[in-house]
Amino acid sequence: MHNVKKIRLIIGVTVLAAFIAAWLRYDTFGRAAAFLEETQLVYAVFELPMLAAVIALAIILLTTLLAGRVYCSTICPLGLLQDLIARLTRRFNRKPYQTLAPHGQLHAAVFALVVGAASAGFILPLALLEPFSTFGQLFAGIFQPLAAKFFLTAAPMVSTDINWFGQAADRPFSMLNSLIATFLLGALTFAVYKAGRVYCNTLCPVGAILRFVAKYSFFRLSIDESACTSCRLCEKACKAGCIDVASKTLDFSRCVSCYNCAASCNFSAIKFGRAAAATSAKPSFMPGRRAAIAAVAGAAVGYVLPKALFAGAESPAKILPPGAMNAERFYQACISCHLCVTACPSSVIRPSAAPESPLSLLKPSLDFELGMCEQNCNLCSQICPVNAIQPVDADKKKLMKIGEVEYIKQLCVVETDGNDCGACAEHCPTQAVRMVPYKNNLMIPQTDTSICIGCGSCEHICPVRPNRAIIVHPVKQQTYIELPEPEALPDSGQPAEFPF
Amino acid sequence: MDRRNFIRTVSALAAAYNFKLPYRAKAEEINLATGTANAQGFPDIVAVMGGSPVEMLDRALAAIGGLGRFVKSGQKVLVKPNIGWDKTPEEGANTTPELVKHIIQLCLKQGAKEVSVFDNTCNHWQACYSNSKIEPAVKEAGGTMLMAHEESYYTDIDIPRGVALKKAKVHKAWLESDVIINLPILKHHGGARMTAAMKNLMGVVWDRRFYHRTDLHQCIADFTTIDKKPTLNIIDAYNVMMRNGPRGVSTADLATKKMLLVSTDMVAIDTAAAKILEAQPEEIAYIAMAAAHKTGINDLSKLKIERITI
Repeated sequence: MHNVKKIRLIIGVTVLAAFIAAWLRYDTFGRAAAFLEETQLVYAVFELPMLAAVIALAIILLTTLLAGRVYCSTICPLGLLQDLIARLTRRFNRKPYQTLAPHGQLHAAVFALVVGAASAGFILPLALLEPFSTFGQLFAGIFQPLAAKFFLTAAPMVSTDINWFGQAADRPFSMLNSLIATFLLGALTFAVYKAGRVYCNTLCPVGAILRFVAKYSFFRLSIDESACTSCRLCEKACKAGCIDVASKTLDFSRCVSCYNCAASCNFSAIKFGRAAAATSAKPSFMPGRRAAIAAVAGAAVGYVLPKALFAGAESPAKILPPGAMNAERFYQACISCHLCVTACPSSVIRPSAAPESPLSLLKPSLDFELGMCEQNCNLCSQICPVNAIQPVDADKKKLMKIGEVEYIKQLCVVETDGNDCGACAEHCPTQAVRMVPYKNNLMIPQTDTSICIGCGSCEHICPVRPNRAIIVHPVKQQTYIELPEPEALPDSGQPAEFPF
Repeated sequence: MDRRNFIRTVSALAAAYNFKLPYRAKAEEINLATGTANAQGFPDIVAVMGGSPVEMLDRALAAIGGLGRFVKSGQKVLVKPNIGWDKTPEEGANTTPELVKHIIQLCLKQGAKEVSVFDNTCNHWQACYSNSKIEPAVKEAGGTMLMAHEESYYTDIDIPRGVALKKAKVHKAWLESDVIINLPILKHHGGARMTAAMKNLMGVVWDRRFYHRTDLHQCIADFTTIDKKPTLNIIDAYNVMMRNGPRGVSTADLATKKMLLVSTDMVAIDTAAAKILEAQPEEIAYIAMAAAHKTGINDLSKLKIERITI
């Protein structure tokens, strides 16, 4: 079994390294991120009935049914991150792991509550507990901004030629998201330090599903009573706390398949084999009926409560990523995994800076401080793992209206200072802002909202502070503009002689 | 401390003392070359019409005295095209990549030590560099693309003769180059009316919002007073964006003029370029302002212009 643990370790380290690399430097490792997201259970469930999702779901469920929760120690980024935290904090904690109570009802209730709330349109609890989204929040909130600072500081020391360090995009900390991420990371570290993978068996929605499936696993780990000397080494090594040597039981539904127990045993008393042959077919730690009652109650509360609380609550108006379509739909669909935040090349997509409403908490929206929503870019719509941002073709994206311009003449440089400027019109990709003649041989901006796509180029470049003279407002529904057929130039023939 | 350790320590200290981060030099420490004053006998402006961009460039360079007049063996050359927008070469918003490639090859043939290219782009820099096809062109020619999208690549310089622009953060490569070749594409410009040689130099400055906020025309003109000026200006006027510039909405905004201008005088070349754009040079305020700074001549009748039709 030592070898099995080694294989698990190699796969785990590789996958975690890939996750970290991709979530720190999407620009370089974007392909890895696109692949990794499709291995996630949340993707497989939310993207049904897409073929890739069906395949992913089938593989995850069949693997679990065959050999238990292998997923939790090889594919799940938050599981792997917990293993890393455990590795780093174990040296300060001499206390070995202990057997944990199964918390079957609690886990079932939490799962039902979260899923109930999500189906009622309030997805925030799921967004906070789902491991893939939590992992994304930690990276978008803490690690990627830190890494960006490092890369951008290091880049000029390497060279001014285009170098890998300098290709990192600047990522600002978003106060609220960074605070929540810090809190989540702190809580997770504390939980891991105290009780190993306790999160995976009490709060994790993915864990709940896999736990239910792993109850019926074909092959499973169990304790060979004839070989066991009750030395408790396995119990002390078990991160999931699912081994009880006193009763010689190993609750395989809670086992995260790290195989540390088997590797710790000096007498090969932990065996991996057919369920029927296993002796631990004792009363399950997840008593079916009680858990079912807890689940029903949880689902009912989860469904009814947000409906009652947020009845009539308006989804706050924000400029949403292209493909989000409208706020109501987007806030119900987005699991706040922040992959779009992590990937956006211009750092325009950011987690909401202020919680106008629990509905919009942690949801991404657009902020034009560092850039504009590039007309030629549709990356976020391509990578959203739950289609909260629907796929938009590159050509259609160029005409997608995500906001609408407002020009505030009394703040504009042309009006206040009597100087030419035109930065807004210069950057406008559709000439929804164009310069028209004004007094004293000046040119002044004029807007045409019917061809404005709300990309924020004008707001981004407007030099007036503190309040800009041109801003973009959200639209209720994302639509497509139609550009008028361009008129031919009066005389575009090639001149026969020089005009000077 | 034994002798061996002593030597080791001393040499380590010496190495550390001599270790320099790139670009630690301050602007004032760097020898600022002045713009090349026009030598006797050569035309002030060479205007070529009717050929391919590369062909016209060759003819123009020959007429102005050959590139060897400006680029000497062992020198560091900076080529500054317009790469402001995430647009393809056909859309006419960025300098024609073949021109960039050709001038780099010519510079290297003259024995230039290295040729660098950058722009402080308006759209996302990587998209601009690659979709303009300028980055691959530079690579093919053996030049180096530099990064210019972070403030750390820029250095403060004083502009004592500036009226509105008294200080600017200028890209370090500008300050460290021996020869600067300004290679804009001619376009209509909603704010500045026209973008050509002088306006293209906004792309070597970090804070372009300061220009717009303060006084766009005056700042553009003020920047021409800096000690280190472009050695040579080449204006790409093959496909000229006549309206909706500088970004352009569609290729219907372009007129095929098949022209190219070369001059050592930024003001003179912009005055001629305005005519190609069918604009009145007097209406483009920064041209007169720069002439008032005496950084160039805006009266075409006083200039020696060589016109070549292919």
